Amino acid sequence: MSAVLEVRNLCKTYIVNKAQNHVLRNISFTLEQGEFVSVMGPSGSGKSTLLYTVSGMDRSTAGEVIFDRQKLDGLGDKQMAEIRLTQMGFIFQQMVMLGNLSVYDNIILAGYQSLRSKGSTRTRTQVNEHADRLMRKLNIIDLAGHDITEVSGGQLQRACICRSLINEPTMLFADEPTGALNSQAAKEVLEELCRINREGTSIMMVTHDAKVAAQTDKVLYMLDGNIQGEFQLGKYTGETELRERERRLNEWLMAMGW
Amino acid sequence: MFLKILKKDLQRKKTMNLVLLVLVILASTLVASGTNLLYTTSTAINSFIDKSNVADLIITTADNPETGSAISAWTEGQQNIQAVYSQQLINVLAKQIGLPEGRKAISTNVGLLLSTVPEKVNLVFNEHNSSLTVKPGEIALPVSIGNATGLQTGDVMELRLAGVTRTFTVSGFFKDAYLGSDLLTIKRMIISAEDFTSIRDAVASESLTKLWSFVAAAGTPGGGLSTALSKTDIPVSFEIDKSLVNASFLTDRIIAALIVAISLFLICIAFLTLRFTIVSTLQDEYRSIGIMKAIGFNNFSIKRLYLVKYLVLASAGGVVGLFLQMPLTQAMSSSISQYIIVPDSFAGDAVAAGSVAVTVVIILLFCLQCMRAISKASAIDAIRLGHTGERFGKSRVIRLHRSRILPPTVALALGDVLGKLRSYTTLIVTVVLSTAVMIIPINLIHTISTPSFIQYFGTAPADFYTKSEIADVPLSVVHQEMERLKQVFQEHDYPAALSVDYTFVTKYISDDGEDSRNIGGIKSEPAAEHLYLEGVSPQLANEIAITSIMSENYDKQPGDSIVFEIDGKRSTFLITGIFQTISNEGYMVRVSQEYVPQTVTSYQFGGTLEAPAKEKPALIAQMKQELSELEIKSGEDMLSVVIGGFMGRLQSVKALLIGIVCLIVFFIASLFVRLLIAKEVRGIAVMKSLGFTSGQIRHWQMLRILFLMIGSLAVGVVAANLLGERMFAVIFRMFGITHLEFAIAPLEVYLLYPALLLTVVVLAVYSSCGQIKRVQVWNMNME
Repeated sequence: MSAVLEVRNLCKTYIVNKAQNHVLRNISFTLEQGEFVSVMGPSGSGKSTLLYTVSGMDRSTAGEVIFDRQKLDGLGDKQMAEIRLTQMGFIFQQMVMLGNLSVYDNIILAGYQSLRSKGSTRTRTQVNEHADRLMRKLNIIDLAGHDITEVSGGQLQRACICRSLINEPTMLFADEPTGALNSQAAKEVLEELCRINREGTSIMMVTHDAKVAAQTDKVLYMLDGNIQGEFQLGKYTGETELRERERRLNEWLMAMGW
Repeated sequence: MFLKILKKDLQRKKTMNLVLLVLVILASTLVASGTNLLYTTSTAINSFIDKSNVADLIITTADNPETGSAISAWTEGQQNIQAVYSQQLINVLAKQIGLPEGRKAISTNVGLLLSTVPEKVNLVFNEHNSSLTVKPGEIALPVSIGNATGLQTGDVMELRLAGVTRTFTVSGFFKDAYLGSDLLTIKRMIISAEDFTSIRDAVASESLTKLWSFVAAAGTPGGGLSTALSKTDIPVSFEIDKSLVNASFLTDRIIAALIVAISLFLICIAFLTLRFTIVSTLQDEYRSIGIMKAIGFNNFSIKRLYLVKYLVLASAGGVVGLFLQMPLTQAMSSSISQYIIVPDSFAGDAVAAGSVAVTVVIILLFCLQCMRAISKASAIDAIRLGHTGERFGKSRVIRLHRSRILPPTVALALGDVLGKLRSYTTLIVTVVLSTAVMIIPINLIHTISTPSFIQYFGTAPADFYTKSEIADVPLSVVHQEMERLKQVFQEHDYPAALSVDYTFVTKYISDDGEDSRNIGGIKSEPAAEHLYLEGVSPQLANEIAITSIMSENYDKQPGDSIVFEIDGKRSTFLITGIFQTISNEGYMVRVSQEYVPQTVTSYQFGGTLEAPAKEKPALIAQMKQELSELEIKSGEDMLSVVIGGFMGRLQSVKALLIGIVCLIVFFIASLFVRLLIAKEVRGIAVMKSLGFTSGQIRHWQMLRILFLMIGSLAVGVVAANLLGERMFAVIFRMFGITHLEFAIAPLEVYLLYPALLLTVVVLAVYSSCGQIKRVQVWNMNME
């Protein structure tokens, strides 16, 4: 397995009212191709900042991020946007979509935009076909023509997953994707993420929920801007082992001070 | 607590509050300045006419004993006349005046009269508003001649009259209520009594004119003396009554009214912006309003919170506007005070202060009206941000997946515009109004500066015109002069076909013989193609064309008969056509080639060049040089002579207007874009996460505003062309034009000025899009 994301000595400092706030302190870790990693920790520990900094959404203060063998530090806004467009996918807790577009148009928007990138060989028809496949897979094909206000939270989050996958990214970043959903919807969304991961997409996910994290390969525990520990759970194979994985994870989290 | 909330609001919404403040300041300044100017101009004109003791009826006649006796006989029998004054004047032609080098010659279209200082009526005043005195060897000139020629006090000018040549030093420039307005083309020049006597004794008696001023007895109706005079056979060269003197200052009132109109436009924009900002603020603060309601604040307490802010903004803007109007009013009235005595009065400033107070109160009432949503919303509604959770109609118009070519940003922009058109009302109305307000004066200026506009002054269209002569001469003199000119043009080998327009005096007699009025007659030789609103040009000696104003007032149509007295002979004419003119309040008649009047009161030659259109300007320029004594003018030159003063002031108003419109459009577009970005920050954050660059997002914002602008500009231009014409038709009717057609300059109206507004908007959008770069992913969590 080769590393898709390498993070070395990553620091992020905010200056608020002339006072320095060190949100990330010398963070280093590696995420292998096809790996599903979750990041846990108390509120304010720096989980979301870590996610946005390693994905190039935010600039680091120091350290190095290597994504798919490219150093992200020093890349311009345009190059960074190009990487986000073609190689990364994002899912957020807030299911924000553009109000003037249908669910389907929201999904294909980034796909159409990627056709304008250099070297793109796809056509609009191919993007549409890919969107159809994704929506069928996530069981929301019937909602294609709907307005975003006409679908439930769980359906909208699945549409957001389709949108993040429209350009077949190497890696998916998810910031509490089940945080705003009820338990049934959260379960369905997580199942989809696991399936996507099984199909080869690497995922880095921030979560507060141990049950959700228990279904990932590895858990990073953050506290005060540092990675306090790393817990290997191994590949998740099915619901039968979930309870055991959850118990092991909770024991570890307790030891970490959760 | 209120002050704390107010302070916080002022800090948080700096741009919005600044734009509002600027709008209120601009509106207040212009309202105050416009009303002040309108009041000052109106009262100043009336008080100036009173102070100058302008007679109720003023006529000029030939200076001979017969006319004198006829007038004496008439006045003796008139109980309406309280006093009669007469004054000798000497006719001077512009060509008889030599000016120092570097000064522009006096236009030959101006009739000049040499006079002594009037003592009883039609008084004149020096630059310091006191009585004018002129020493021997000095000459005082009206302000308009000083402005037109560039003459300065101390300059020496030469009068070369038949039989005597004298030099005079310009002693100053005077204000003349009687003949001082832009619209009157007869001007007085004043010399000492000694100089006047010596010149009068030296010149031929034909050069002498007598000015008769009649003061009406109390209770005489306006125009009563004029009606009475028209029933006599007294040959009058020039007649004007007090009401016409007052009306001749109409252009000054139009300028003041234009400024009031601009301020009204600004108030409209200010109200739209207020509504937009109040609605946006309430939307932003719906949750806070809900919480306030939930903890027991009543509706008025909440409204008072916002009202305090608008009271502060409106009052501050009003006070600043009141101070700013002072220099603006002074600047705008400086040209008026050059030739009118503008009394120093507190009343003008009081009117300005009153209008500002009214503006502030109206703004506050409007704010209250906009805040009705606060009363309507329940605490729960407000906390739920006004969403009921239901949606009954789809807002999507553009379907991206069905398009094969639309780039995503273009599709997004189109979808926004078509799907949420109502939310852009403020911007659309602002741009439509701004465009209309800018284009209307441009159309007006272009209409009155088009060479064909000269036709409304009774002049036949021609490639060039020669000097015009104002004199009572037999028609044979005009024909002789025409032959001489033809000879001159032949000698110089110019391919010109000459024509002449001459005027003569006619007297309209009503069908019952009770009413009459002196009306100018005009004839072109050879027959020229004049524009007729109805019917055709007269062909036979007993045919005549009358103006539309005459047609309306005398209830005469083509095919009706009408009686005129010309050269002392009363004849019945058949009306063949209706035309319109801007001269003599719209009263004029045109006779056929067959009719030959005996005495001509003024004449001017024109010519059509038999050469390709491209070569004509060069030929006219060459003629101007080689035949300088003929004082050749192109159509444009003629027009600038006739309406130059008014035009200059209109151009100043246009420049002011374009500046204000650009400023407003910039501010509103900037405010609008900032508010849109603030509202759409979550969408922008998502687009960034999807891989859209800040530039692409800015492109989307820009396209959206451009689509709106293009539509609004088109509506604005159409509205300006249609409404402007109707609006100015009312004003032009006062001058005699009953059917005004705007001459539209397509390049300016459809391209240049819309492009200027588009550029301003592009600049506003670009300068306001900076915050897109600062939008981060965590902005998605903002509510």
